Amino acid sequence: MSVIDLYNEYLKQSSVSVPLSFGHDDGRTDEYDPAHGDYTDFHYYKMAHYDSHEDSHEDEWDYSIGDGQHYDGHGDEHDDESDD
Amino acid sequence: MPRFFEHLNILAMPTDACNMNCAYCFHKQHCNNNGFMSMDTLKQLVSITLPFYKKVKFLWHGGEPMLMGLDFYRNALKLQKGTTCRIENAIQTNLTLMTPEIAAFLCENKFGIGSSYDGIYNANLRGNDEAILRGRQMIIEQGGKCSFIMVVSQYNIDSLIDSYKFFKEKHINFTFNLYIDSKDFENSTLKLREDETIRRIKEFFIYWAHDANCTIEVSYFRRILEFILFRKKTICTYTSCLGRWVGVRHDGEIVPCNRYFPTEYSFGNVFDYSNIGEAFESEGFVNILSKAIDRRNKCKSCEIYDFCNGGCNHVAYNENGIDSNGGASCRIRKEIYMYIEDFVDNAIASQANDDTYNKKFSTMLYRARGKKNDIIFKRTAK
Repeated sequence: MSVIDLYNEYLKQSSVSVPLSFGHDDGRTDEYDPAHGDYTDFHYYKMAHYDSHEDSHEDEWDYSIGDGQHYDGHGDEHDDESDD
Repeated sequence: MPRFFEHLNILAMPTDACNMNCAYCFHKQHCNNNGFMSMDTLKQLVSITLPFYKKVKFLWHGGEPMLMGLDFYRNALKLQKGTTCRIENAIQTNLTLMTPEIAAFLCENKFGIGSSYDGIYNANLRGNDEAILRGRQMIIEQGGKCSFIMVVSQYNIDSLIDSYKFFKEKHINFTFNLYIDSKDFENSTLKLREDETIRRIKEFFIYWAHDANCTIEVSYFRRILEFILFRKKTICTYTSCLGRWVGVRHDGEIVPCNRYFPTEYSFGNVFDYSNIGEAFESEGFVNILSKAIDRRNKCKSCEIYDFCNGGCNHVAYNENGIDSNGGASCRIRKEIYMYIEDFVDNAIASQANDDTYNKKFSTMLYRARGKKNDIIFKRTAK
């Protein structure tokens, strides 16, 4: 089996795709803004529209790392923002 | 040439050296070489990555990455320029070497900055309490942010709520990561007892969920809630990290991530390749990929497989092997996830006033309800 075939098998095992997540906006807030009738944070807006269909767009940009001791992450303010 | 994605995360470890001596450090057990990444190695790393990706994130780790000195990072930024590749930098530092000059540099250049602090028992487990908090304050004064990771071991498992209060008082967002005993170095003082760990985390969750005065982020809970409510996840441990994450050590060795793996999982060296995609054809990559697939196949029938997707390769390596599951972390994660899932289902079903929950949680609930997304419908119908 080629590496590509093996990798495709690996990706098919991921049953839920996740949104592209790159960059971060340090001004992120999850405060509700009545004036806009929506959350002011693009990230939350985006994820609420996220459709968990198929593996095909498992194109996430993950850069939060976790579990285990020591240098296991780089600060959690940076693991979930999306601006793409 | 495999380039599985248009983006790549590089866990760059320019040195193994560290000026601290944390009780639970796994790095020093395996990586005691005090070498430093040369400019040639850094140039080679840049040359085999940036031309082939649309986005690359450098996550500077160690050892203590600030031992490299500021000029190393100034040079790194210079090398990153002149490309169409979108680049981000982040650094995980113990903050003890922070100066106003370094803080200004990091903030001006939009480095994500993270550190660790072990709550009310930090003095016993990491030490340097004052230096760490002082370093963070320098970041804040430069307009930056810096949240903490608290490593939870048997030593401090009873302090979760008190440590949360500590962080809340200081307005510091944090998450907690569970200590994993190294395969080769067991530590009976730190090794978590499963039942107590599950009980303590549940207690903490309930305390946090109903804390009307909650002003900080506890990412451990947020990640679970975001998946339950929005099917969203980003953390590497619960997604398919292989192919989009690599670690690069100070001597240029390419490895699965910043954590220790034996040499059979090495992807080669940056000087072996003209395109890092070639590393994804290496024997080491195929070795870890094959075993991860085997593990996931064993995990598929689990109730929370969609959430964790088989979990972290490094954790599995230290528990029952990369191709196996069922370790202590598996059971803890599953019990906590299902407990929180039940909590969310009850919250949704009860239609209770969301004011009974903290603002973070009630905001997420409100958001999920407001959007009337499919997930809420499905959960309500349960």
